[in-house]
Amino acid sequence: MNKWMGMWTFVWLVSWCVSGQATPVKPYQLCHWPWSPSGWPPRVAGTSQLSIETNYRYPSSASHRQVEGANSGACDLPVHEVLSGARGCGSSQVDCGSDQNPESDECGDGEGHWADIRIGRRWQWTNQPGMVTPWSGNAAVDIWQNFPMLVDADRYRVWFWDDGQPAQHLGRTQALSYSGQLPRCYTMAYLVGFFNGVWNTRREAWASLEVLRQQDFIGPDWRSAPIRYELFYNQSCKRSADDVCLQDVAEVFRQRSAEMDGLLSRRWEYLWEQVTGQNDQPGSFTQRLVARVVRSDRALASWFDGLANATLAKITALSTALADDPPTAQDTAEHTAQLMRAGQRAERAVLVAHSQGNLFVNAAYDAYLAHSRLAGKVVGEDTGYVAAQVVHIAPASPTLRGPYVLADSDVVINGLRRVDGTYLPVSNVSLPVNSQDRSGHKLLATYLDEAGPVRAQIRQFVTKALDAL
Amino acid sequence: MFTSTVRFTRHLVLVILALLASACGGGKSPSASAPASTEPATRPAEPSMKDQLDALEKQGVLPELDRSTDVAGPDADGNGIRDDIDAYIAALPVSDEVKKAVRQRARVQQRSLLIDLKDRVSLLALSDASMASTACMSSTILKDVPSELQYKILRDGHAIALKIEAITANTPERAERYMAYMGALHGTTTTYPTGKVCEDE
Repeated sequence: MNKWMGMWTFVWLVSWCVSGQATPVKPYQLCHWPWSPSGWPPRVAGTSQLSIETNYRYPSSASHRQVEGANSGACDLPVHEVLSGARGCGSSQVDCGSDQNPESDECGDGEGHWADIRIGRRWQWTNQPGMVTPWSGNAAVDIWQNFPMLVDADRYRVWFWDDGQPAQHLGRTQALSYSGQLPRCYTMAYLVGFFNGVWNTRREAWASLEVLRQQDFIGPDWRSAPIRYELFYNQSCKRSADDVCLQDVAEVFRQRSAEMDGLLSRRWEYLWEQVTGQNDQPGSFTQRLVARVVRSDRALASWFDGLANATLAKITALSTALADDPPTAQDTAEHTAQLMRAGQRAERAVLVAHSQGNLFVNAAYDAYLAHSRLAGKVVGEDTGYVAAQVVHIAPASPTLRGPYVLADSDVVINGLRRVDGTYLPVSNVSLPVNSQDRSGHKLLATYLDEAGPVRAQIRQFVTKALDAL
Repeated sequence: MFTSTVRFTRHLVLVILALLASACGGGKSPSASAPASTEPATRPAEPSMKDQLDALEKQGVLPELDRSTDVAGPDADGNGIRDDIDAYIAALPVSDEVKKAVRQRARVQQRSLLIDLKDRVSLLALSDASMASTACMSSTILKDVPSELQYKILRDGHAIALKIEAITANTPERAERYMAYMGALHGTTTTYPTGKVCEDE
């Protein structure tokens, strides 16, 4: 009997070890214990409302986000106390027989008859689900359940009818026990949202989101959890219902293009190169034009320099106006609604904003937080929390909701500060003037430039924010 | 006879003297040998910037674009891309596969000038299609590119797409339309797509 016991123990241990290495560890955002006889684990802040759909209202807590080690227990009581029904310990009969006929499975009464009892001495849930199914609320989130419990158990032979005969310890085994539906864990899912500056065309804003998503920056997933990337687009300067900030920049071009006998008045591709910053890039139409159209007084080069300076001045003026009359919750209602939907889809959000986009992200984040607090208050659980973090890049906003980077060579933000004296975040990174971005303000050409030092800092902020969720 | 001989000899001497004078003093005193002229020397006129620009477009250094007042512009083959932009794409120094992705981008860009801005459903659908074309462009241009070059190649791809954006909205009328399109999308959100993003042509 002992030889077989030893073999099975060995098999179980090997299978546990092998399966433990094969199963990747996945982070959970919520482990739900629908019921527990002892009331373990305690729900966050005594809440009874914690569910995956409302999980965005609750701060990250290790107690409800892990399985391994949770609900662990131990029983060190002597055998006779366990068999007397002591609480916190459990036992099960695994065999019976008699001294006269040990190989018999006959369970009888009377002298010489014994029963083998297994008593669990140590137990804990392990991080190996028995079943994985997608959650109906978001296919990117899986439900893991039927986690096995790893049990160290002692086996005793007990002679119930032989008074004085002590229990015989037959050894200790370790095995996985599949205990049913408990617990149920939901895997992580993230949202990375990008709020563009209003000095961005649609195409440029997409490009920015795409660079965030690249494998060499954040990537399509983080610690095995999928990330959904979403553009939260901004283009209004709030002056009218159909206001478009870029109209002001276009007007600068329109007026200036009347110069030089209207040479560029119907060549608005040069406007878009100014707007997107492509004018300073090698191979741009602007670069080719200035290099090849020759005039002794360098009229064309001077004209483009003047246009660039006037465009920068206009952007600074627009930024000032927006900072003086920042977007409100109403202005960002659609974005906030989308954040709320993301929260209900169990997506924990990192919101990255550039330039004037920081004004919009502040308003959207504040509204999302307000919604979370109100929804929690209704059920008596205002945790003061929402599952969203903000990272600010070149913020044209006087207030922040998270860490930021701002280069000292950023002409737009520095100009903003000088014009109206508004207190803005102090520049916290030093960058030399970039020949491919004379504004020092462009996200792709400057802040996310692979050759620049700021890119790594921004990545660190974003990944830290993902881990904090 | 003597008189004609003396007259001939005198003429001969004068000719010889003139020749001698021009040989000795031609470099230093041009007016002494040059035929008399009242007009100073002139340099060829500098071509106007417009002429130079036109020449650059004819040479293909800069794209030769339709600049009519019509927002849509000519599309003779009806493929959803303006003919001048078709020609620009055809001349790009990239693979056929990348050109196909650029054409997908160009089709979407063209539609942004023509869409009914009050049709919210179509607007959001076009926004999704636009994002898909962005993803198609990137996935195509990055195919088989080693990791250490991906950043640069991605930026090159963005540069092409931004040029398509620029030359599509290349007149005041088209630029106005494009800005109106962007304004109509203010406050919306668009998810970066996964899965199949490149259209079949």
